Amino acid sequence: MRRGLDQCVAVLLLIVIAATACTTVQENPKTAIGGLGGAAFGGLIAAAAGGGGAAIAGAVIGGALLGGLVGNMLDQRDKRLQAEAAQKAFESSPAGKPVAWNNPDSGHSGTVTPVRTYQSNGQYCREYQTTVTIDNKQEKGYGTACRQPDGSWKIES
Amino acid sequence: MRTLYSCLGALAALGILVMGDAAAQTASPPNLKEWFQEHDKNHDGKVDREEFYQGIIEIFYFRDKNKNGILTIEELQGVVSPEVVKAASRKGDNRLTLDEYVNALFRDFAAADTDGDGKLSFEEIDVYIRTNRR
Repeated sequence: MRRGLDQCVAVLLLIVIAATACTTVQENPKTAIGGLGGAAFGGLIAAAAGGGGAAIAGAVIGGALLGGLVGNMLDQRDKRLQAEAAQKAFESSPAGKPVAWNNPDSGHSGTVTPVRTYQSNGQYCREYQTTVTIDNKQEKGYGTACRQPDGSWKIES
Repeated sequence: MRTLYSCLGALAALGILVMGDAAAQTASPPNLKEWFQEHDKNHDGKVDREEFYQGIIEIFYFRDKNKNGILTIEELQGVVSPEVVKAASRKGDNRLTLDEYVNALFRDFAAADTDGDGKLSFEEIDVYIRTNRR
């Protein structure tokens, strides 16, 4: 009897956890997907551009959720190539023009495309779309990066 | 007050025509059509205010070489004359903020929008360039 009750409670808990997770993703899909770009290469952009430790930590914190999962599937060279593509896209690519990266060793590839530019408190920010292709499956993400005084780009969302 | 376009007599301020290009004095800039299609994001055959605004910011961003948020005469060299910059600047100095740049170009937007629908067709831009080119 007691064992049956425990099992019921465990099942209910699992349902609640699953439902909560689904709601979080569905309520704000842009934020959730945006994490893919942010956490995946946010810190690396700052690092590639010579940003300091604080900038790197801030950028990583700016990303979330899916970013960590996707990030785990990319190797170090993937991340470096992705960060270089992002830096190039944010700094010098017109809106709508993608900058591609490709790692023949891992077979992973992707793009970073600025989609909108604006100024915020005198700082340039660019909204972007990013794709990552792993095992022929493409994931898309959206986010915003803002240019720091030292020339690095920090993922804001 | 002379606006950026009319002073230039062209869309030079948008970076799609280099001032002093003799070949472009009697015809539309060869890349005007390309520029238009690129900025007509919703493909309705017209560039609306938001599409125009985005185009302006992009040009401003790429002309701002040191990325300090301001365009100087040096950064606009070959595109507009110092007099134009001073006329567009609220302080009358040699630099333009993004707001000043946008305001100046939207005055041209309004002048070019002859049917008053808040959007620019390719023909309206083309006519405006030809009419105001000096």
